[in-house]
Amino acid sequence: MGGMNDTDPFAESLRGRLPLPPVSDDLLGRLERRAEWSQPRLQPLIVIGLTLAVLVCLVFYTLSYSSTAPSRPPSSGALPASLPNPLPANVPVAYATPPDDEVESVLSIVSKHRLEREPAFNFVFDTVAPRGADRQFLL
Amino acid sequence: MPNESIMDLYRRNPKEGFRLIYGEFAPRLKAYLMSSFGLGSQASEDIIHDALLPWVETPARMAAIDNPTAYLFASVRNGALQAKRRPMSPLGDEEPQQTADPDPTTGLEIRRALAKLLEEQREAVVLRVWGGLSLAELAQHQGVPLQTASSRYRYGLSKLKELLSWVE
Repeated sequence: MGGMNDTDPFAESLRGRLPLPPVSDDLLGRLERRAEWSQPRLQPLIVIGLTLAVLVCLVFYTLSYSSTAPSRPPSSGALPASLPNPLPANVPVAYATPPDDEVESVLSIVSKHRLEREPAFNFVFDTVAPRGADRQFLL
Repeated sequence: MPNESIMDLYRRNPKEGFRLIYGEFAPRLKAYLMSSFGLGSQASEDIIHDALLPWVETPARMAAIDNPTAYLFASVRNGALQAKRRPMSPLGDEEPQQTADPDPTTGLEIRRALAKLLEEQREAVVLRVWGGLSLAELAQHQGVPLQTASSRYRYGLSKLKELLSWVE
């Protein structure tokens, strides 16, 4: 930077008559706003804390989801008053296996109706066992 | 302040080092851009902004530089050459009031005299008188031997003496 130490009187007079131009204050501000040291930094402890918090949330979510999934509330449960109920109240939501006496009663009704329509059915039905007992059953 | 001291501070404390660099170089770079390339105040500051931006954004990378004087003047010269491809106002006729000259008439006369020099002589005078470069730095900047840079400076200064009316 020897120029500023130039002892030439003419060069000195040039500098005195035409000084360095002023630089606007805004330029330094614009630069310092972009500076690395002005940017917010994520400290290592903050990063570790955030990571742990996310992990805890994930574990909690997974556990709560797996425990609530099998015991979902029935859809016929109470709905908010603001929502219309799309289903009638008496529609069963799950298939219930009927007890044996119900099955037998249904079968007897079916047999009774068929006997009324087909009287021969009764005969054949009653004689299948005695006739088939002493001979081969052919398909 | 010597380049080594500036870079020592910048490496130890980039924030303080940058403020020193800004204070040392921004006005000289602006004088160089305005007087040697005829750029306006705002255009000059935009180029200086671009040249100084890496010094604030990536201080770790810029800390490897040994000679900030050569680096910064070369940076703004590249920026000025790009800006020269765009239309601009005539040399010396813009914003003379922004230079805060003690004597605006004399300041304008110096600018007009500088505009009459050969380009390499004008650059040599501006870089040496207002930019503060040594003859060795001037030679490096212009990519010429030391003798050539010295001759350009001396011839440019002699020509200025002939052109300026107040020189006895």
